[in-house]
Amino acid sequence: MNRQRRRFLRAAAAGGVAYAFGRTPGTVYAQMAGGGPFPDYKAMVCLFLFGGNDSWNMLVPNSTAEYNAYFAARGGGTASSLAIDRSALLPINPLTPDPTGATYGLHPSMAGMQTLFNSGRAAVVANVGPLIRPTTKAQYQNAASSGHALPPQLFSHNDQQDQWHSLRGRAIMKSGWGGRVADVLNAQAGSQQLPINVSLAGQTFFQAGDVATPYVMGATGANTFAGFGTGRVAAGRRTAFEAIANANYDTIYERGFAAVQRRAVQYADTVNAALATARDFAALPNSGVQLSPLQTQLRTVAKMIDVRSRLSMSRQIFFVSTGGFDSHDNQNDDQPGLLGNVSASIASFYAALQEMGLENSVTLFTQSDFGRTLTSNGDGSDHAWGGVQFVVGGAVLGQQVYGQYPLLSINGPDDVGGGRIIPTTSSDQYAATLARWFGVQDSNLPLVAPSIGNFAQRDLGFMAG
Amino acid sequence: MQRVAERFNNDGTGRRGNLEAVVRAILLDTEARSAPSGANAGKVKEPLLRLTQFWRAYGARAASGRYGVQAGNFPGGVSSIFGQGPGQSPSVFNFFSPFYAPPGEIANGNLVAPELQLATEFLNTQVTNFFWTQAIARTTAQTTLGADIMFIDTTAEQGLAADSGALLDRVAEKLLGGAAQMSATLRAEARAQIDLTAAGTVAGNNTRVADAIYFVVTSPEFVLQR
Repeated sequence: MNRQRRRFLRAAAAGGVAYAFGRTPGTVYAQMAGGGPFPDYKAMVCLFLFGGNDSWNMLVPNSTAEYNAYFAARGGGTASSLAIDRSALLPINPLTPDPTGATYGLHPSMAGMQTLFNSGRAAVVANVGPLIRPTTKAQYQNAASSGHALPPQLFSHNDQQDQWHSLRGRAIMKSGWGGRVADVLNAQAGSQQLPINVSLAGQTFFQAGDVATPYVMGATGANTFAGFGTGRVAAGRRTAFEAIANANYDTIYERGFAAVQRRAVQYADTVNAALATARDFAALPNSGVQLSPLQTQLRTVAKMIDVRSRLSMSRQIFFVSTGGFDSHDNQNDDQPGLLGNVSASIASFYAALQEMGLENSVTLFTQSDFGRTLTSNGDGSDHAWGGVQFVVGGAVLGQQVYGQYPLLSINGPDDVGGGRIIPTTSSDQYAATLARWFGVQDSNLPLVAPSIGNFAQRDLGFMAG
Repeated sequence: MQRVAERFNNDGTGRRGNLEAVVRAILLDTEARSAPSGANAGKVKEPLLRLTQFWRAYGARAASGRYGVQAGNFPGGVSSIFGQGPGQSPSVFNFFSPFYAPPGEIANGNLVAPELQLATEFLNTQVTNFFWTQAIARTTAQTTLGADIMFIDTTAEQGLAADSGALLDRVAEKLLGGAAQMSATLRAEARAQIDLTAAGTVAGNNTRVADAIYFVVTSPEFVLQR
């Protein structure tokens, strides 16, 4: 038996390699000199609410004039009403009250988020969504003749998910903004044992870099290989599997598939051995409490953060998700469970961060396909555009509403029809603010958020430092 | 499209809409008859099609006669293992995006590999483990399987178990379109692994057959649809 073995060679994680794709050839991602190794640990957690969250019912106007506009727009008082009772709203108390006197309350199922907000650990970004440049209602309506740039395929699930993930605007782009953050920071992150991007909820555009490749694990850990083991035959099986995965292949598809097999073998033992040493969180316990699937993902994220030193991690971006938000039907019945789960899951995750004393090092933020129409379709709402997102963590300058909460009225100044609200803050600004906190230098923000130069404010100010 | 459309308009004798001529034009077109070549040729088989091709090649069946996707065959559900299941698409957008391209040479080449969106480290390892269980514990060599458990027919392989070369030739014929299609690396690695187990006992033969099938069905070359 003369079996030749190749050593694992992973070129993809090498920093400073630039591929040209939808960019000027020669773009070099690694940050310029002066960006030495990170002395600290930071993690971002992207919580994606698949389906398009009706966030006008997540943060609701609570002052009389604004609530009345909302109530009317949502068909309040009719059989098909989507309006939340004003008396049931959970009030929030921003440090800087709205100068117009408008006040807001959270959906009645979101007590956890109310506590986080009012204690300064969470902020709200109002009316954020994909934009290429600031857009008024008139500019939207005249875009076809004026050429005013709008994101393509507005109101479409997959296209707008892609917009949030990639911030690509009208460009052709195969990377996401989380992936590009990793491209920029890879060299500074040093010799991490895992890629910066780790998903617990499948392969997403968000985490694909132009160079960096994410690692996709399961909601409770990495999968190990059933046929591998320590005996002579079982150990040989692993060796042979690795050799086949490391072989040269003629086609890009075989090579792409073999790369997944290599990474799966490479990371499985490392991840599971590390996870086995993580603590049992009181807020997200290993047993005794029924956790939602989202909480299970977040428990594993907390564990991965707990074992960061063991894996030599200094920068991590985690992706978790929960679905069911496409509430064309049964919205009034489904929303309490959906939003209640988001609120309870975020609250328990924040408590787990506190158990580690890492609440200032980790920031969770939400994204969703789009906001939804103010108008009721009889039993729910339909696809729209801008919406409300949460940012949670000790480094968040919380207890504030960032951006401009719109007047929720049909045919109002931001309504492009049926209560589809034009965002007044762009997803690029949202991403750039987070990326800057995470360590991306100002000069590199356009790599992460390509349209950021079209907006006056590159940093929305919701992150400390 | 144009060649076939022209055949639809005129079957060669001036007749329009001759179905036989159209089918013939599709099946005998140069694009359909010549093997594609080059680094971009082919596509990735999606996970469930890897399974159905494998099951068909190996005459998979259950004692009950049912072809079930129930828990006995797919603990946790077929979607939780394969990332997709018959009639189980989570939305109208199906199981993967037509625009998906993994970072690296595929994305850089402005190409897509939609099926690779399901080939995550997590899901693909589940699929890999599914095939291992099938090859080692769910074949005609096992006698105590539940009525609904899908098993593969490895009778011919059991007869070749003592000869690792002949065994691999047989598996390659079933899964790769012939022994000549198997790469030298796959053959050498799989053969060396098979020969780590002595033939002659029931358990030994079973392991040798399982390794032969496992390494071919999980190989990148089986995953490529040319």
